[in-house]
Formats: sequence, structure tokens, C-alpha cells
Amino acid sequence: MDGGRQLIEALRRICGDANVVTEHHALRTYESDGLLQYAAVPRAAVLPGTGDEVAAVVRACHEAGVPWVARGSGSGLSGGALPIEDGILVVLSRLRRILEVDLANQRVVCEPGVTNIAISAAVGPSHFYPPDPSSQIVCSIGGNEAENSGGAHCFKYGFTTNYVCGLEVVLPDGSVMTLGGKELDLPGYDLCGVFVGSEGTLGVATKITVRVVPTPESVRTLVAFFDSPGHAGHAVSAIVSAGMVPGAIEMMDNLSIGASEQMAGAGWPLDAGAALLVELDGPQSECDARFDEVRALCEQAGSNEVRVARDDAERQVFWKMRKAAFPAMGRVSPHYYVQDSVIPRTALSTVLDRIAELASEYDLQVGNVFHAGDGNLHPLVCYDGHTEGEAERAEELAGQIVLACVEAGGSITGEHGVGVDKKRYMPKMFSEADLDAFQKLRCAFDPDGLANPGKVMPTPRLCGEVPGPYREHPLEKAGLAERF
Amino acid sequence: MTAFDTLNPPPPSLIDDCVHCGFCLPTCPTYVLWGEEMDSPRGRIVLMRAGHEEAGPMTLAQVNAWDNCLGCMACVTACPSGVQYDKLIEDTRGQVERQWGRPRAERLRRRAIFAMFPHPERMKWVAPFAPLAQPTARFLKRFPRLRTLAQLAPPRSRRVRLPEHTAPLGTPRGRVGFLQGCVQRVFFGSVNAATVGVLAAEGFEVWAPQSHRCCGALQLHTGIDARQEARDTIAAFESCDTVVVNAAGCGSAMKDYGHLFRDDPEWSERAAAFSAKVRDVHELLAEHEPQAPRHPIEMVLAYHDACHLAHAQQVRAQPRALLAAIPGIELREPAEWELCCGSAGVWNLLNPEPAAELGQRKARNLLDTGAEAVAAANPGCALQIAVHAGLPVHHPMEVLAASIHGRKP
Amino acid sequence: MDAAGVAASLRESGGVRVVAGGTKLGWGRPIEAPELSVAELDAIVEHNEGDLTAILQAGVPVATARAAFASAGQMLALDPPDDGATIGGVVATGDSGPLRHRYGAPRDLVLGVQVALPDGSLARAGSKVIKNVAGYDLAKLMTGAFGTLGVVTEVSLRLHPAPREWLTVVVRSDDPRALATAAAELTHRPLEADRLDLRWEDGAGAVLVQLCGPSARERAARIDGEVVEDDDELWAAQRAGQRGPVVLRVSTTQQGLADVLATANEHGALCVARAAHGLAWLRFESADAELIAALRARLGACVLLDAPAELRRAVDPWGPLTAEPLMRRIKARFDPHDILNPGLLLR
Repeated sequence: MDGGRQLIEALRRICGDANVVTEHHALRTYESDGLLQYAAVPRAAVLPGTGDEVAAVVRACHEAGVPWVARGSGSGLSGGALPIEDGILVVLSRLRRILEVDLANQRVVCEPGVTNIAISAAVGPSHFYPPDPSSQIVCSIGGNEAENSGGAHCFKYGFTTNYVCGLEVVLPDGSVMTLGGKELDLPGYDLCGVFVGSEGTLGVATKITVRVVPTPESVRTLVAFFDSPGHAGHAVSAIVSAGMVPGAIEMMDNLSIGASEQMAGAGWPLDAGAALLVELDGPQSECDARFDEVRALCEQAGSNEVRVARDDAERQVFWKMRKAAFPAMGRVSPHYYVQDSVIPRTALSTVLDRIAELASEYDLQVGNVFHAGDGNLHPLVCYDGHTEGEAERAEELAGQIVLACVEAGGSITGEHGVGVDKKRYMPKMFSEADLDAFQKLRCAFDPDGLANPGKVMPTPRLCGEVPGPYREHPLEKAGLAERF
Repeated sequence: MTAFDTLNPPPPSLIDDCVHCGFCLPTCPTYVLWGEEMDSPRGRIVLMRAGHEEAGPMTLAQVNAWDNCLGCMACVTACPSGVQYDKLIEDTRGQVERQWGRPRAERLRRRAIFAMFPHPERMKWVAPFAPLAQPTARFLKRFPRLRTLAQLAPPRSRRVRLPEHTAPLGTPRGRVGFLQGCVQRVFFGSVNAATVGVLAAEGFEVWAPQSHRCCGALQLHTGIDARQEARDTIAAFESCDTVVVNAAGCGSAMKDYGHLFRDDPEWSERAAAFSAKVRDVHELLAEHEPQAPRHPIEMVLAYHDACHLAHAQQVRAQPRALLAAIPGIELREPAEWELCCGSAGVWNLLNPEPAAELGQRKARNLLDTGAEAVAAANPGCALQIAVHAGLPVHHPMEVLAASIHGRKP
Repeated sequence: MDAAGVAASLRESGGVRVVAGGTKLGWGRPIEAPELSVAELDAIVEHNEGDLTAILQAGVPVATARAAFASAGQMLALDPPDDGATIGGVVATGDSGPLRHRYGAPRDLVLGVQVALPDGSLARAGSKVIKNVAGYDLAKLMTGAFGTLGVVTEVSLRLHPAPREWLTVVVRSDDPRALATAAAELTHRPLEADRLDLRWEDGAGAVLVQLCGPSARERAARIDGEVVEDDDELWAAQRAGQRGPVVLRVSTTQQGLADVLATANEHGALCVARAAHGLAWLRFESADAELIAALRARLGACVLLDAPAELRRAVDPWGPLTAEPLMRRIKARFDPHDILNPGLLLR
């Protein structure tokens, strides 16, 4: 593949020999992101050191007609950074400088490889950056922006897309464009808003401007234990009906409590059906006024025990229990499949019952960790990959769970992204006309289909000429052809 | 045929524990320096898996990745899935030593290091000349490894000969065996003396045999066969109910003997039983109410977490508690406590430039606390910090001994 | 006409001017095209009380929606001026009022849209749940696009609990820079105000901080200002300040607001601003192209909103559009024959 060699040489000229990885074993370390179920070794992995180098790399790939995938910290849970086998992996871990901390204007400008927590650290203690995915110590802001990541506090504070106000992006043809800026409501289309959450399929961001906000004055955290997730769900409904928007409301079921307890050792009761972690934050007087109300509502909903975090150290332990819940499952099960479905919060009981039904039908265990405030459910389907057929059964069960959530009026993904893992469910949530509209956008940015192809859209589509009036061809209707 | 032979290959079941979450990356010194996946624990584990999965011998890429690992175990602390990376890297290093042909210069270098350091009876002849080494460092710029060696040479070391038996004071609490160590014994004899003094003051009868040489930690952490040293150590001390150690690296290695001999029918039980008796001195003291009164010492002290104590043994609270209980001591916490100082056994001798970068980073963090001195429970750390931070470094036992005897450390 | 009807009529159309409540027809470049009204799409399709979400057709007046939700103790946190404004129009123009301080702009409240496209298709993006990242965020694309990429026929929205008690603290000054400094200091405090505005009028100004909730009075006590319990008029006046004979909306930073207030003072213009977001509206009795150019040079991004016809013809209402080439590429894909509000946004 001579064209391939020319491209590699071009990449070496751009980034330096030491930053172009072609050796097989070294490449294998990049074969997966946070989802081990998918692995692919790219043709080469390149680690640019500046935004200019990123643009040059993308341009070189464009000239060679070679697809590429951008990777931050490789902690994503949808296979968004899964390499293309004949493609280039653009690793952004060396672009990890915080370029500007502008506290006066409550803005931070940074490179995509900066970790989520580093942003809060840079503006603390007076300010913080609210979207806090559980992997925040390692996940990159570039990855957050690509996936529109959420986190435990997003019910109150919002998501990445509510905080990114400016981007410098490299489009798939190698051109560099500035979207948005430090200012808000700039005239024109909300291109920042469109780019955030586009999962690396519209280009790659090399500079990210985010808003930061004042750290809440006071934070009060409790964990309440219930006999079942259903009971805990009633407590959540009561809290929300009382007109409160807690900083976070998280639920864990019995299986996930047991797993996390092995790791974090918080001393939570192992026979609890569910644990509800409620955190109120805000002005001290407001917190104090509301906290007792929350406590009372939990007790009224049937909580067996309410523990209030006495100090920050204890609060950190509560959060450790929650934030490490996924990886901690590795202690109770050889393998697990983490899902990311969303349901209207009021449908929680029904959906949980359905999941229990399905789990028993498939004879597999399913743990549940739930962002109770916004209805984002993380079922953890446990299985042993060494047992014949179990992996396939787990995948099928996971799919059934996703369908149940969509049927309840929800979404196939709340924060992890579609990536490669959930593309097959896209037609369950969106019609052909919807997918066509998505494709229009994608073609406007990436007519040659080089940026992270094979992600998000369920079937590959080419971008032809600018289309005429929409008429569904009978062959398309029959699903036999994919004209675009 | 795969990359590994049948003697203690990294167990696939332990490899499978890794779910690839990446929580270890920000805490790994080589990932922090270089940002490449193969220089992270997660990447090193993928390479171990590749070693099992793929037919064919070990490659240079694998060896480099594994050699670059400091063995600091910060990843073990960070890992939410409980991956026992310490065991994995130990097994893998052993495989590398047996399977991989190193270039001649590299082999000689390693042989020279291991001909010297784990041998106190050889080091004691070199010790008097050590103070001459530091001033020569600036002439050795073209020889980075020699230069590092020269820089790290301690300026002064008092010969201390420990008595074999030390009687307890106050209420007796039992008899313990005490490991004198190799580098510790020769260059930090005063730390050993202080440790024995504190143990005795707290009611322990201390048996500190001179004849025992070395627990094999430096070798074990570098992949060199340490089974003879391990067997000698077990044999020397297994008659004790408790074996006390004041060097973090040694304690960690000795607690791993059980894993080292897991497949050895003759030694597996003995080794496991022995490992269960090993205690770091801070652990042991923290299990009992303090007996000897503490006299005040006015000092602002930054606490440095030695990796083999904080991560490998998960001993973090006890040394802090012991120091904080001394009236007048103000203990300060440096930022990035979990990041290794760069000493990592003999890693700094084998990888001088990155070790210096890490040493500078640790030094900056320690100096930023505003403390006047540093407490560090490992000889390697003490040397590394002294070079890069220019602050006096005390072993916590030295501070405690001084407090008990009413003098300054 | 229902949503499908709208889509069908687009397919046959050679050019339309999309109309709903007719309150912002004077914005953007002046255009001529047959009107397509979505005012008949005026149903509240869903109000999910327990989930704090709602689905509204584009022609629902915002005031009607707010009243409907209020009876359940909930609010749609959008308070732009114009009582006759529809949700479709507010979303298409990205208009907002003082509640933007805490609750965000339409882009932050819209969960999903149904949109009629020029090729005659009816497409959905987003969903009706608060948290969703499936697919591309076409809702953000359509919000603020002034109907030039598609006609929004239905909107899913996030609701919030309606406050039960509230008051406003007023801090006054007649020095514009001192006032801006006072506002900045307040925006840096963790007050969790619902509204936080600046006002400058006739040589004097104020910072207005609305606090809600059981502890409002206690929090108000920590701000050095006058407490106004009956604050409806204050905020009505703030909203009214976003409309007038000539209105320029400025997008700047918090620190940039000092210049905006100084400018208002020098020109005798009224200014209302969202202090934490650097968004300001300057209202003039009259203005010419020169003034607009001078203001743009001094203050940055300014969009001309309300203006008399001659001014609209003389001035580019938008100013420089960042990423205009990319905008054109998107427009070419969604509306290749330029039938939607042709020329209103892109020349």
C-alpha cells in the first residue's frame, strides 16, 4: 500500500518520528477505548503536539483519502474512539495545556487533552466546571465535548453542551474554523451546539472554551437505604414534586452496592435493596432549609436508614461508592456490559420491573446504577465471557433493555454516546427521515466521510450531490437500497 | 509458543480483572510524563494480554513498556476494579529477564548495580568515599547514569552497628524480628538505630540479626530472580511472630513472598505464612497505644508518601498519625502525593532523565508546602528528594525517636 | 394546516416567509416572500408533570404555555418580551429574557424538535427526556436559525419548578463603571439568583438581583441594596428594554459590559443586560449606519433587532458571521434551493 506509506511519512514529518506509532504491539495498546468488547488496530497512531499539527494531520489524511478517528483519554463507553483498521488514530493526549483561565469573565480555554477534573482544579475553589462524569479524573474535555458528557450533577447543572461556548475545530478537509467564542448568543447558526455531541464525526476540536460558575456555598449529602429501587423512586418523585432540584440524586441497587463496597468499603448495608444518594448544594441557608425536608421525604417514602455525611471526607467516600460502581462490577462478575438508556423518570418502576423480568428470562444478573434525577439508567449486564454463548446472550439482553427504555418514551443513550455500540438501535428511536436529516448535517461537514466513519449512523451512507426533493424510492422503503 | 514461559507468567485471571477504565492513567508517572498509552498500566496490561494471545516471542515494544514502569503501584491505589498490577508486573519482569536478550552494555550495567546495592558488605567499603561523589556530578554530564549515581550518593553516613538484641522498656508487648536492610544499613544506619530505639521504647523486644543480608526487594522489583534472597530471609526470620521493616520497598517485597512462591510445592505455604507476619514499623506502632511520652518538636514537616508504603502496602494514615501526635509538629500535605518521586528502586539509575523530571516535580510540590523538612519512609526516596529539593529529609522513625528522647531530629 | 401539511407545502414552494406570532418580523435582512403561517399549530401536545417536560406545537403562545404550567406549580423558564410571541418564534430567533440568567437560552431548554424540511420531509431530533445524546443535535441547529434551515413544527421542552416566593434586591449607582464592577462582583458570588440584570437609563443605573426560595430574604440581607418584594414592574421594564425603535443586541463578556454601560451613558441610550452572560440590549430612539458601525467597532458583536425600514436596508443586521463558509455548506444541504426565509440570514 504505497499510498499508505506516503501518508505515514507525511505524518512523521508533521509530528516527528517519536510521535508516530506503527509498531504492532504499541498499536495494540490503542485498540480499545473504555469498552473492551470492541477492538481494532489502526494503521498508525499519531500523537500531535499542537493544534497546528492536528490540522496538518487531518489535511494529510484528507489528501490521502484515509479515514481517521480522534481519541482523548480512551475512557469512553460507546466505542467512539475505536480505531478504523486501515485508518489513522489521532491521539490528543499531548494537547493537555490549559491555555487561559479567565476568572473575571468566568471562562477557561484549554486543549482537548486536558482532563475534566483539571478544569475544576484550575478555577477552584471559587469556581468549578459542573459536568462531572464519573471518570472525570481521566476523561478529557475533548472527549466530553465529543460525547456531550453528563455526570452525576447534570440534573441541576446541565451538560457539556450547556457549558461549551467556543471551539476551534479542524474540519475533515483540514481547514480550521472558529465556532462561537467567549461570548454567548453570537449571530449565525449555533455551530458550537451542533458540534458538541457529534462524536468526532464532524471534525476535531483543538481548543475548547468553557464557562465556569461559582462553587456552591454549601453542600449537604445524605445516603438513604430502601428495600427496593421502587421505594427509592417514590422518594425521588416526592423530592422533585416538592419543587426541589438537588445537585445530584443517584440510585444504586443491591448488586452494585455490593460491588462498590468491596472497593470503597463505605460500610453500607449489603442487604439494602437500593441506596439513594442525595446531594443538595447552593446557598447555605437554602440548603439548610431544604435538607431536612429531603430527609423527611426519604423517611416518609419508607427509608430504613438515612446517613448524613458528617464532613467532606465522608462525602468523598459516598461519591467513591457511586463513581467507581462500573469498574467495581469487575469484582463481582468476570465481564459486564454497561448500558446507558434514559427513561422518563416517572416510568422508573415499570421499567425496572421489565428489566427484572428480562434478566430472569435470560438467566443473567443485571445491576443498576441510576441518575435518578434525569432518568438516565445504567444497567450493568453481568456475564462470564468464558462460558459458551453467554456473551451473545448478554448482548441480546442488553438490546432488549434498550428497547424497553425507548418504548417507555426514553432514549438509547443519555451520556455515553452512540459510537459503534448503539448504532443498531438508532432506527428504533429515529425514522428514516430523521436519519436523513442527520446525514445532511454530517455531509455538510464531512462530504468525504473520513471523520470517524462507522460511528453513530446505523448504516454507511455516502454523501452525493446536494439532494433534490425527498421522495422515498420503493427500494429504499423496502430497505434494499441506501441512496443518499 | 507465546511470549511467556511457564514459570510464573502474569496470570490471565488477573489480567482479566482490568476493564480498561483508565482511572490509573493520571496517576501513572510515565503516562503523566509521556502521554502514550503503552506507558500506562492499562497499556502494559494489554501488552501482557498480547503476550498470552499472540504466537511469537516478546518484542522490544513490550519490553520497553514494561521496563519503563516504575513499579510505584499508584495504579493499584487508583484502580476501582482491584487489578493486582503489582503481582502482574513482578511476574512480567521475571519473564523479561529470562526471555529477553538485552544488549551487552545494558546487561553489564544491571549486573554492576546488582553486584553492589543489595550487598551491604560490599557497599560498606564504598561508603566512606560516597561524600566525594556528589561534587563530581557536574563533570559527568555526558554520562547521565553515572551522573545520577554521583548525585544520589549520600553526603555523610555514620557507621552504626546495631546490637543483636534490644530489651524493651515499659510494659512488654512482645518480640519482633527487625530487618536491617542493605542500603538502609550502610547509608542510613541512624534510621535503623532510631527505629530500634522507638520499638524498644514502645515495649517491643527487638531481635536484629546482623547475618541476614538482603530481602531481595531491589531484585524482585526489577525482575531479577530473588528467590534465594527470599528463601534466606524467610528462613532467617520465620521463627518470629512479627517481622518489622522500616524500608517501604523491603516491606512490600516481603509481603509478596507468598505470591512469588505460589507454585512452589516446597515453599508456598512457608512463604505465605511468612508474608502474613510482615509489618511496616508504622503499621505495628499504630496498632498499639503509644507508651513512651512524646516531647515537643517545633517543626513544619511535609509528609512524603513512599510508593511502596502508600500504594503497595496501602499504609498512609499510620505514619501521619504517629507524626501528628508529636506536639509541635505541623504536618503539611504536598500536592500530587500519589505521584512517585522518581527513585523507584533502581529505576532512577536506569532511567536518569525521566527520573530527574519526576524528582523535580516532587521537589516543587514539597517546597510549595512551605515546610522546612520532609518526612520519608524509604531510603531511595530520601536520596532522591534530598538531591532535587535540597531540604533535610528525616525518616518518621528519626523524628519519633527524637521526640521520645527530647531532642531535635 | 398540520405539520405534515407544512412539510408538503414546502416541497412545492419557491420561497416562503415563515410567520407565527408576527412579533419579530422586523428582524434580519428585509425579505419578500409569500407567508407560511404556523399559527394554527397551537396545541399543547403533552405536559408531563412528574417528569417536568412538555411538548408544544410551534404556534403555542409562550404566555399561554406559561399559564398552563403555572397551575401545576411549574414554569417554562423563558420570559422574552412580546406577549404574542409563540414558542416556535422564540426558538427560531433564540430570543430570551431575564430568566436566561439562571435557566439559559432556548437552546438550553429545548430537548427536541420536529422540523419540516424543504425536501418535504418531517424529521425529529432529540427526544422528550431531559438527558439525551442520541444522534445529532439538530434542535441546537434550528434554534436561532431564524427558520432558514427548516420550519420547526413542534418543540419538546424542559420545565422547572415554579418559585413560590421571591424578591429583588436593587443596587444603584450613577457611575457606569462602578455599576459594572458591582454587577461582576455579584455574578461571582454563589447566590443562585434567578435573574441578575443591569439597567442604565438617563444617567443612572442599577443592578437587579432576583432571589427565590424559602431563604430569599436571608440571602438578600447579604447584598447591600434595597429590597423590593413586589418586583413585577421592575422585571417587566427589563423585558421592555429589549424592544424599541432601534435595538442593538450586544454579545460581549462580563468585563465588556462596563464599556456597554459607558456607551449607553454617552449616547443617552437605554441599556438592559444579563450581567453574568455579557448580553446587553441598547435601545435608541434613532440611529444611522455610522452609529451602528462605530458601536460595532467599540463593543464587538452587535445584532440589529428592532429598526425602522431604512436602517434595515442600510445596515447588515448581523455583522460578521463567524464560520460563514460552514454555515453556507449547511444551508446548501438543508435548503439547497434557498426557499426558507431567503436572504434573511445569509445574503
